[in-house]
Amino acid sequence: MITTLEKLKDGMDAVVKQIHGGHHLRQKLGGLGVHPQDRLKVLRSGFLGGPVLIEIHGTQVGIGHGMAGKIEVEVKERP
Amino acid sequence: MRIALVGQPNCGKSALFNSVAGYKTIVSNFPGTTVDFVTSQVNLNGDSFTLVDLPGIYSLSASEREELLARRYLIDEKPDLVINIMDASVLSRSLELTLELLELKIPLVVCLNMIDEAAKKGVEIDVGHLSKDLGVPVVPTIAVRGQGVPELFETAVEHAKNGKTGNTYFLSLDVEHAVSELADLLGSDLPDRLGLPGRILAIKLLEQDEEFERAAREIKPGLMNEAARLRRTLSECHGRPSDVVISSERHSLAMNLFEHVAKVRPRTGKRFRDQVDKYLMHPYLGYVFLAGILFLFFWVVFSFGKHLEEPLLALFERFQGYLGAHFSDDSIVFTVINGLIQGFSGGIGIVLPYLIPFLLGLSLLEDLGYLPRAAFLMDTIMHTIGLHGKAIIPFVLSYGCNVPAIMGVRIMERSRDRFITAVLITLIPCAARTTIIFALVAFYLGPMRALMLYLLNIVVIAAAGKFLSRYLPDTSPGMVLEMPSYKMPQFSTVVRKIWFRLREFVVIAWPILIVGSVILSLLEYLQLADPINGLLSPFTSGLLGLPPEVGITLIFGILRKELTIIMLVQALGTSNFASVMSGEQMMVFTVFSLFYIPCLATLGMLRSTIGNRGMLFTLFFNTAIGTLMALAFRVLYFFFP
Repeated sequence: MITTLEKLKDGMDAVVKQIHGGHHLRQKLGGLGVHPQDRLKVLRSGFLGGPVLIEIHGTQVGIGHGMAGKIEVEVKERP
Repeated sequence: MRIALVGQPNCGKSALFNSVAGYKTIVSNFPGTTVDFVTSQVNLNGDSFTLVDLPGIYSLSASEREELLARRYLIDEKPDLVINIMDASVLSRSLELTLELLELKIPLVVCLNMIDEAAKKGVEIDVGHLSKDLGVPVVPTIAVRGQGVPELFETAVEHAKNGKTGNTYFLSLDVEHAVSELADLLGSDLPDRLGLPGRILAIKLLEQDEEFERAAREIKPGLMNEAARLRRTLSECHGRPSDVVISSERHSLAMNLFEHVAKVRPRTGKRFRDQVDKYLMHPYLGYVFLAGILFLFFWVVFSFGKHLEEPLLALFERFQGYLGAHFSDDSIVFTVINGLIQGFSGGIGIVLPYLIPFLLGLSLLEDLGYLPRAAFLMDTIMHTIGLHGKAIIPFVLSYGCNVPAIMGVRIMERSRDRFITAVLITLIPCAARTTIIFALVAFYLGPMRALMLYLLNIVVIAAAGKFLSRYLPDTSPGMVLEMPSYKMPQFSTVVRKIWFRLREFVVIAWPILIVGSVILSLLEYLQLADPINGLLSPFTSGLLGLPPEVGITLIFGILRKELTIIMLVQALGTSNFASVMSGEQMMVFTVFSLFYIPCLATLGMLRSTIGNRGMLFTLFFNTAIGTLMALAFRVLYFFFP
């Protein structure tokens, strides 16, 4: 299932498909290790317009709700 | 010899810097910047070098101010060697920065820090292998315990002398084609003039780096069309923007390197941070804890401060009394000395009791790793007034005193955020302005009116925030924030932070306070109260409808807000304000005092944080808000007396 990051629920695993934001957003996310094809896990979902907390490459990153909406992800079932 | 420390935020760079600070002879702020850019002279086994602590950066892109500063330093100042510190527990991500640094062709030594944390996470790194792959020395360290640090610097000095640079990494074939084609077109003249190797300039231009593009366009405008053409080709071939193509390449190179040199065992057991974050980052409970922590912080700082401030000020008063007995009250010498003491004691009364505990608390929250979490929780709310979640901490503290709160805006990375937060902080009623609200409004007009003033104040701050962010739009794409693991704050780092921030107050804000209070003493000595009241009366009584005698109290309020009420008693000749002022006048006076020019210590702090122009802007901005709000109350009273 393809959706955007802010719609995921707590504990869901997903793979980043595309980052729709501009150049700055991509660079910023890239610096923190968020790139297309990367696997991530949602630690705290962005419910009620709040930011999303994800775990990626062993680090935790908080992403604002608006920005999370620009990150297209594919939900993965846990193996 | 100059050695620069470069690393991602939270990699333990400060700890490393501090572990050699024992050798240091000079510590100074880096000229021309407001970031705490520190250099230190180090002597090690007969070799002496300058160690430069650059701000923590995730990459060499130009999307953040810190990145630009660090990058400019590396390119323009060309240190003899770069020590790339990385958090070994997040090796794969850290390697992306290393790959970029290698392209700069400055001799490099990698410091694999927090090797113990990595081991705890189950990451085992083959140091020899990593060193061979990168073509540079790699030294494992645990900087907080000083472990491996002497070896690191010995290796660094040795390596700087032989001046060897590391390996160059090749990207996939078509990307490499584009890079070398552009590098050929650039020739050697342009890279030489910009001071960096042609290959990295070509890569950065393909990544659409604004700063390099601007610089290159000035020298060879025609080339930019070629760069744009190559970018288009790349993005057409890969179906995504060229910068994503290149950063993904670097990312996969780093991942491959990581897999090559590291073994990861699955983690067993629950981590400490997960246990703590279960409560502190909980969608509901998290806010309860946040409120509790902020309240505790506020309460500790101000109860501590109050206990110290009173005896301190009493001490100075006794000293003043002693002087008064020896000089005649009306001599000019006494007046000047009196002003000096008042300014000096004002500084002591703020610095010792409030600033030090505040800075201590702030550094602790920062170093523990709680600040990013508070910012995460508050992000949505603060964004509605165009600010960053981190601003909540200085905001809460400024209800006690604006001075340390303005100093606290340093925790924000971008100058726009610092500017808006600092300006908004000056609108928050500090403890001194609270006394005005209590003495006039709560006492004579009732506590409900006072409460209403506080609520109105919040609305005004939100509106001012909206207004300012309209003219200084938030260009950042929003919050992207790493949540570091919790760490034990280190004594030396905390002390250094407090000292650096404190020095700003002593050097910049304090002199303003002292000069200001001398001037006010002279005003009093020359008996200028009446002429000043006369001068201000078109504003005070004409526009605001206040008794003309209050003019001088507003002037003294600029020195210290507590003085407003004290001077009001003196100016009106009674402490029963209701006998000389109407309810409307008391309300209008309080509202104006609440918003107009901040006190001198705050102005001084503003100057050191957001510059002279920022300070002047705040002065006019706040006075305008004060006047508008006071007029609004006059109108309100006119219709609903």
